[in-house]
Amino acid sequence: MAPVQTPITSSDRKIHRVVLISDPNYFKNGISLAREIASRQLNEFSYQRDNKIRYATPLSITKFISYSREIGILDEDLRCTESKDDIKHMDNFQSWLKNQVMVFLETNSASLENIKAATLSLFSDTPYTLPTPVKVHEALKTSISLSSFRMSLKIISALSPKALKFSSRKLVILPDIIKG
Amino acid sequence: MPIDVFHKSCKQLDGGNDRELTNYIVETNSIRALVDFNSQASIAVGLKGIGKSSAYRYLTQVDKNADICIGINADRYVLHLPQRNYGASFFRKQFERDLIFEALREVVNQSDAMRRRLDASLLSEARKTVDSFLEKLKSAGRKIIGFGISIVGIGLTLHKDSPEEPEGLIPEKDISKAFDILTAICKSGVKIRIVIDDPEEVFSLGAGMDINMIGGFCLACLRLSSTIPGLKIIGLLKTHVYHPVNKHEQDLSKYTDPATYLAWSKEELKLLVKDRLSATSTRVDDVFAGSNEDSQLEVLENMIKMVRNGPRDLLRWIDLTLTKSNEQPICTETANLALEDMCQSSFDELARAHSGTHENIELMIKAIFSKKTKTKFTRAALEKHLETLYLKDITFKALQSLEWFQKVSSITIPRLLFETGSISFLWKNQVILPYQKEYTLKNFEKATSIFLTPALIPVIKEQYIRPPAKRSTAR
Repeated sequence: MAPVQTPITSSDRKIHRVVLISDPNYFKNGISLAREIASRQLNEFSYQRDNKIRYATPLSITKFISYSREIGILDEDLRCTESKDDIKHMDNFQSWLKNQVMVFLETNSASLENIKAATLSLFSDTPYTLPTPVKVHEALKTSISLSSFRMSLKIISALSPKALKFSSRKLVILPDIIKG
Repeated sequence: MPIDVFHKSCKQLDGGNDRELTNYIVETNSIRALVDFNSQASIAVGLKGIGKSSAYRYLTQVDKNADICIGINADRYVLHLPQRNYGASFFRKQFERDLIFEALREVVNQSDAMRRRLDASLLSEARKTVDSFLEKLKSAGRKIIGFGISIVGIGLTLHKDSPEEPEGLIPEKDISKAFDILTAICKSGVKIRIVIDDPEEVFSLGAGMDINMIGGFCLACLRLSSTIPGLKIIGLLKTHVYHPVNKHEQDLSKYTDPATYLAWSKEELKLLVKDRLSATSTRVDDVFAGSNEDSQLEVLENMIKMVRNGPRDLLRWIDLTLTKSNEQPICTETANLALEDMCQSSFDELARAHSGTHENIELMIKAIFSKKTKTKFTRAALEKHLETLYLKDITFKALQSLEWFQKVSSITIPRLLFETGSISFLWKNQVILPYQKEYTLKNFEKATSIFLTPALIPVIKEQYIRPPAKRSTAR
């Protein structure tokens, strides 16, 4: 099977890199792993600013390491919870990651059904409330942090676009028209 | 030969079309609960093939416990509801008013009999209310399709170009008046039962299911049945129709047990066959081989332990075995000859029933159990197995393109398997099969082990393709 064609800098590909590089024999904590990833200047962690390619700092990379631990694809010792041979191929990894994220949401009162119910409830609020991730997160009263919730939505919408669509565009509000 | 007649009766797999059904219909415990006006059972849910159509006929033709009984199914009623994006509460209100008027209309139709039971003024009020409603319908006249067949759903039965919104058809005060009249009629001791079989087929034209409509329908049944003593609205729904509605419609959780499961005990299934034998004057030893009646019935009991949906699988298996053995008495060996065919039919039925909501679900079931047909999983072990499939299995990856598969995960798939009746489980040291009353979500959550339903084992086994053996290099 061909992997889902997500952009090179998308979260699933960043996490794939984190998990492949992670090794408890070499890295004793998240920040040392993050420093190593930053030093490699990988495409997955690159971005453009002022027409120059820049790379993510170790601090911003730790966010992906923490998230990988939170959803259980890395254990506390930074060991991958499945064989690296199995997750090496992107299609295997994406399928596994999607499931792990879904399980993470479901076990923390943030299943797709709960998200849908929260979204509909915000729509029917008076005054009408736009179901932004922040508002949905508030409505769900989940123990998941906002940044992990947002990351989860991004991953699900990239890997399972028929299950959930997530837009991070700024809101454009015109008379009689609301675009999200 | 009586066995011919018995064999023919086993070919009648659709209770709705079986002319002889009333001669051997079995009053199961779940049907008894539906018949009882004091029981809360109102929404009856069952797997395809569990005997929903038979239950419908029992409730509308056999049982005489109700003074007025109205049966509504897709064969007798064709209603054309426009596809509109209404919420469940709108549909609930609409169904409530339609059902109230339908009940009153039948009271008026049977006014000769009702005159002895009801106060004349009450009957006259009922007549006036129905006449006024019908008058309003006539004024909406040409826009209404299906008029004269039933008024259920008529408020929604308008052409798509109709400028008139259905909720505007009857003023609210008329509805509450009709409600009061019906309550007074039922309080006078008149028992009214309305039975609707497969509401998703009766009330919708499109291939897709309108979850809000079915949710509204279920709420209307439950609400009217619980608020008017002596009125019972029974909706008969397939499990694959009910489960998505139950997940989606939060108001259903206001009722402690919104659905009653149409189920069979092993004894009731035995009775199903015995009653057919009696009705066709066939002896047990004509159909089952054995030195005495106990051993003959043991053959039947062993078959009952294998079937998935209960009556349909069992009758099909008996039919297939008798056909294969040229109507020789069934023994374990001859039953085994027809086992695979019965299992394949059961599996096909499962796949067909879910094809609308879970396209290719059979591929997922095969992938999960292809090398684990007899494995007894704990819930955690099954979830772990599914996690591994997400990582390694090619079918799981191929299914990722389907919308329903994108919405499930290793912790929600077990429930889906439960809802489809593809898994059975061990609960309190008993094997619980999908047709049994103990096959409930509550018991499933407490199951000590979960495994592929026995009736599906031969099908999954057959599908398992052994990887090609490595060629020997020796010459």
